[in-house]
Amino acid sequence: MRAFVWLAAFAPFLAHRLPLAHRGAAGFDFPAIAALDGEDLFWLAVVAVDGAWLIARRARLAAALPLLAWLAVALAAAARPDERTAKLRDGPREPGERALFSPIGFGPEESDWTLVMAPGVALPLPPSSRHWLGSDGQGRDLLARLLHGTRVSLGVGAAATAIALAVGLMVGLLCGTLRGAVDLVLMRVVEVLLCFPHLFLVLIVFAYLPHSRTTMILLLGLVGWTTTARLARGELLRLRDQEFVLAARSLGASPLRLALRHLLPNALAPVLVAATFSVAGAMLAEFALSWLGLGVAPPTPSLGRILAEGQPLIARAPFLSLAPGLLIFAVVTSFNAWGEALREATTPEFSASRQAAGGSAP
Amino acid sequence: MKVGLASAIGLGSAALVVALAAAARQGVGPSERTGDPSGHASFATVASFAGSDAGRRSLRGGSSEAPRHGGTMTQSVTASYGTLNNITRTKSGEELVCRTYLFPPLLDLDPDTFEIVPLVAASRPEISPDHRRYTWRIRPGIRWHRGLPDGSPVELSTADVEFSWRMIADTRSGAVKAKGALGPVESVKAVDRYTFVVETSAPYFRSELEFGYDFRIMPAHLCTQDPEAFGKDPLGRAPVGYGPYRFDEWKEGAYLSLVRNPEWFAPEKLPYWVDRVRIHFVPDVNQVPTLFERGELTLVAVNDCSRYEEMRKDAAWLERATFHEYYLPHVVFITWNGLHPAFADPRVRRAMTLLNPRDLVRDKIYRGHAQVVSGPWAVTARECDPSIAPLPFDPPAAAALLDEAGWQDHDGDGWRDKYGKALRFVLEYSQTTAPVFTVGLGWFQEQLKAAGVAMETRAVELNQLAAELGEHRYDAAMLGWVADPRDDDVYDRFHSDAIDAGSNYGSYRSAECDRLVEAFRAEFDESARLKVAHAIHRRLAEDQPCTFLYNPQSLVLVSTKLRNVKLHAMGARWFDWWFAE
Amino acid sequence: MRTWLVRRLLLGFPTLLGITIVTFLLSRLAPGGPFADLADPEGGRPITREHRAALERNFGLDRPLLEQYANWLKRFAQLDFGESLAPDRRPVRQKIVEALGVSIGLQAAAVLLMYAVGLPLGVWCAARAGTRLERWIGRALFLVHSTPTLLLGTVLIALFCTGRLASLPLLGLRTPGLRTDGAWAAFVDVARHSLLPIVCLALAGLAGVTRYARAGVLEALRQPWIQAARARGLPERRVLARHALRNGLAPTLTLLGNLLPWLVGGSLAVETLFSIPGLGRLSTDSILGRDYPTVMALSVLVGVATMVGFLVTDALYVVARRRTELE
Repeated sequence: MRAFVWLAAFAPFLAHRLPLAHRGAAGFDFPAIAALDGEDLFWLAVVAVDGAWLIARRARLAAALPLLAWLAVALAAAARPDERTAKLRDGPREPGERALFSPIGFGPEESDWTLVMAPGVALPLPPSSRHWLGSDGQGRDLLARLLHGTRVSLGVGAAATAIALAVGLMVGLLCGTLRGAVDLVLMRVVEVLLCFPHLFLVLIVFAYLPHSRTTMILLLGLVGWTTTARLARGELLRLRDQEFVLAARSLGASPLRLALRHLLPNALAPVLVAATFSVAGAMLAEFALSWLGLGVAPPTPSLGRILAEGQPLIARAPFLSLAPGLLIFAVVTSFNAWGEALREATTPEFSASRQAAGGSAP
Repeated sequence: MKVGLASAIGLGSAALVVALAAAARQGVGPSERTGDPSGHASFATVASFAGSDAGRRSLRGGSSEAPRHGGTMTQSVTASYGTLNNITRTKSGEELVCRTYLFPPLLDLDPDTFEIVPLVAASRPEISPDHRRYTWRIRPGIRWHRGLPDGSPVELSTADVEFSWRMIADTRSGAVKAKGALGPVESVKAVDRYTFVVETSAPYFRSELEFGYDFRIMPAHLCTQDPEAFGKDPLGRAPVGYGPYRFDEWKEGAYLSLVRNPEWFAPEKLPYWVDRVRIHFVPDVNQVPTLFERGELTLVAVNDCSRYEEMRKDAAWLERATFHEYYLPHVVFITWNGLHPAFADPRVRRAMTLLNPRDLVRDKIYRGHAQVVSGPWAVTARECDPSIAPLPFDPPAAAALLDEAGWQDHDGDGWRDKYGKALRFVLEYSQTTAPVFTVGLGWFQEQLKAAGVAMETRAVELNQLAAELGEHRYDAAMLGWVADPRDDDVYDRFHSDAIDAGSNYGSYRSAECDRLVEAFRAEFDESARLKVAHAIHRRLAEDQPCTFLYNPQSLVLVSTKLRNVKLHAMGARWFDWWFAE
Repeated sequence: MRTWLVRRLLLGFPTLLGITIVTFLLSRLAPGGPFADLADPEGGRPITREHRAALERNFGLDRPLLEQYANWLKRFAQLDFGESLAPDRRPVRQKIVEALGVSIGLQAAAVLLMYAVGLPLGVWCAARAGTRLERWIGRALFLVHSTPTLLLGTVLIALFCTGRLASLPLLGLRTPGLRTDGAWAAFVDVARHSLLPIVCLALAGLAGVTRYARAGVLEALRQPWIQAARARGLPERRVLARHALRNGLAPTLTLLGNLLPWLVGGSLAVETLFSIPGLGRLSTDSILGRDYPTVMALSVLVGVATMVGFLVTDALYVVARRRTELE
């Protein structure tokens, strides 16, 4: 799973339309690095933190990568972007002009016009030295799209889960500590949210809001907090009966202190475990939505969208559909495996009461 | 829970089965070329069969086998039928079944020449000099599939015609499309058992064809007489008609089965050798070639041109199927909303067309199985002026036009803008659009980006798209339109009256175009009318209210078990095919 | 216990009301209306404004929202679900019962299959926990669990309906026009058609059941009385069967709380792939077609089923808690 996150973070370096470094008449510049935006930097920051953690645990080999990330950030400040260098790949060059392109050489959203317009060339392009996994039906490099698509799917899944986690924990805490009427009402709200046809919500949201990743994240987050809430509440109700809580209460701790200091840290473990499964679920939901055409707007790649585009070509180029499918369940499987490992590490006893409180679906 | 969401909305890709749907708009039947002996040659020998199994004789040319009754023609549609009530039905799939098999129309079109041919009508109607009174005569001897409860047969008569008109005209019955298709009809009155008179409110050259082709008849002796209950009449689920096929079984969500009517009244024109018809409801379009392979379907349309080409070279496929291509008057186009600040300017619209790599899409995606069009008609239509060439793919010219129109990159952000607003828009299309149409959009998007225009494409639910188009609340939309095979009238699409009340989604307003369209409608002489049509074509090509994209071919596979397979100009009409032993 | 149950049941009514209100509001908020067929921008002459207004008047869609909802509620209280707005205008109850019959049959069979395979598999995994084979089986289960149902179905179709192993039918639930003499032949026909859809549905939940069974049995095996039984020299099989199974498989019962909502869920993916007219397609089609009466009726159905499911899960928790309290 770590591999996927790191690959996602470094996607803009592995597959970009613009060259990484370019020397022209005006001197050196780094177009691809200069084109990094806030989201790219966030991913790099995540990786930097992870790398730092690895260093702290003395994993020497991994130490180099976060350093590279920081180096990229520093270079970005000094670079001047130049759009015209995109044509450098196949077009005419001035004497002395050199360009260093990313390893894959193509961005995820641009068609390879040189090949597309060449007569006698059939789409999708088969794998070749120019396109390592071939292209999709529109002439866009498949490997680049898969890489960036994984990044988008992962990003959406993680962000949606983060929101779901935050909201769900809050609601679960409220229910678990305050109990009584608050608990009753909030649980009914949860039931209502789970029972009405979600397709309507999806349709309405995508009718009135722009088709962007933010919309997807908000939608998935606001629909998904219910599971976390029920789980958190179940945990809290279970923990309330433990001795340490009774002790704290008898010492006069306020409900807030009780919740934050005593209950939350202990309830967190199974909630976090469920969260990892949630990320997988959110990714699958985003996959399904993109497949229906309701996800992020093209040309932004996402694994579901790549699959949807590849489906009509399935007889001629089955790999176009298989690849995103394989990727999605590789990522989801790795998240599930991570979650399982986490669960076994944090819950040595698998008691019936916890299972009843969890109650996840077949 | 999210997995539940995911699986609950994991809809299979439902593409538009254009060929079959479009084929549904076309009519039935070959010509009755009165007085033309050469035309009779193919039917002279057939006439001796007179709808019975007696006699076996070989036919001219096409096949050495003798025609025989038997076999089941199996086809598929994506969407389930709602109702087969001939008057309240709305979908094109239902139209195919009703018009072709159950309730043939008064007037039909020759599938090759598109000439008007009387079918249920005994002859073409008498038209009054002011073109407002049409006297129709029904052919006697046409029997409904089911008669009175005591078993006695009932003939199609003006009682049915009057009853049907009463239902169509009454808004409580929900016969919305039936009424809309008839145009300016005011009244329908019976004169005697087989004669009735139709009065229209204004002279319109299409009135005869529209009424003859689109007037829908239902049995007066079996249906409920109450307009409010008419839409729910059980005959909608078990229709009784008078056509070449009788209703057999309708398994909800699975298939519709029809069986041959031995009392069919026009076997010399339309023999219909095949014994049974079965139409399966297959929501996943990708499965259709698989089903054909398994022999469960005998006539299918293929959307993917590259796959079609590959099948043509595959020996296994050549054994199972014969391959046919034909052009329907189906045009795919992008409509620009004239209320958008950029698209109100014809120069911008022209620039959009110049930036669209249509030839590339035709070559690479359609593999030549389409034509680039410059107007709302197919290249093969008579209304289309072949001398008007489509605009070429010319980015520099487009850039010049956009500059001239005032859209330049004033603020250096890479996008053209005017008065501080960047040139960005959303192009919408229906979710059910076949993927083959949307690849071209991706290339269009990239070309626009290179030219400094930001386009976002969006697949939108049909309901929402219809609402937005009707209220003119969109930027641009990609749509398809199947024109009428003859005398297509674009009043509903490009006349300024149609902005509020019609399909003029782009709010296109042009005094000259209005004048031409009105002249077209009032012209009763065919050759003069075609000249006006050419003028309309020229005006539309100049103004570019829409970017007309392609006229795609329909690609059809027919099982090799069928004999005498030939496709007409109108499409896969199989009335004269039969199954081998 | 009893008071808790009664209280929860009573609370069900306002929750159901809330569900219907939310569904009603959302369905009206979604753009477009039930007459999109008629306003199809790609097909023929559109209908006039007057005609559309007349249609809306006919069906009471021009009334204020509150009145429309109140009308619906009044009729619903008399168990009258109204008529569908789809062109077939059939009674909603008839459409739902038809689709429900199909879906319940398939889902019930899938659940049986899931438990029939999942429980023994889980027990076996627990008995062989940690061995290489068991770990591979675990990974295979994850693979299946993580694959979207549509992909799974496509693979199964590709394997068993086309190509060399083609042996199973693809369309629907019955062979059309097949004359079956006797109930057995008809049953076999339906069984052959539904095998793949049931397998598809079962695979989706198999991993969960197996996981729960395995974990439960493993935990039961760790209990001290198991050690005692082993120490007494009882054969392993008896230890497993008599002691571990009964306690270990109890947690899987909690999954049954989700049984009812699952039964009325209907998998859209499977129904689309195999052309089965079940609840998944009915609900999606009625939402996309803005068939308000059908949508409301379905949301009530799903709502009731889900609430009952929650009730069962929570009740089991309460029972378990009471039992641990007694210990």
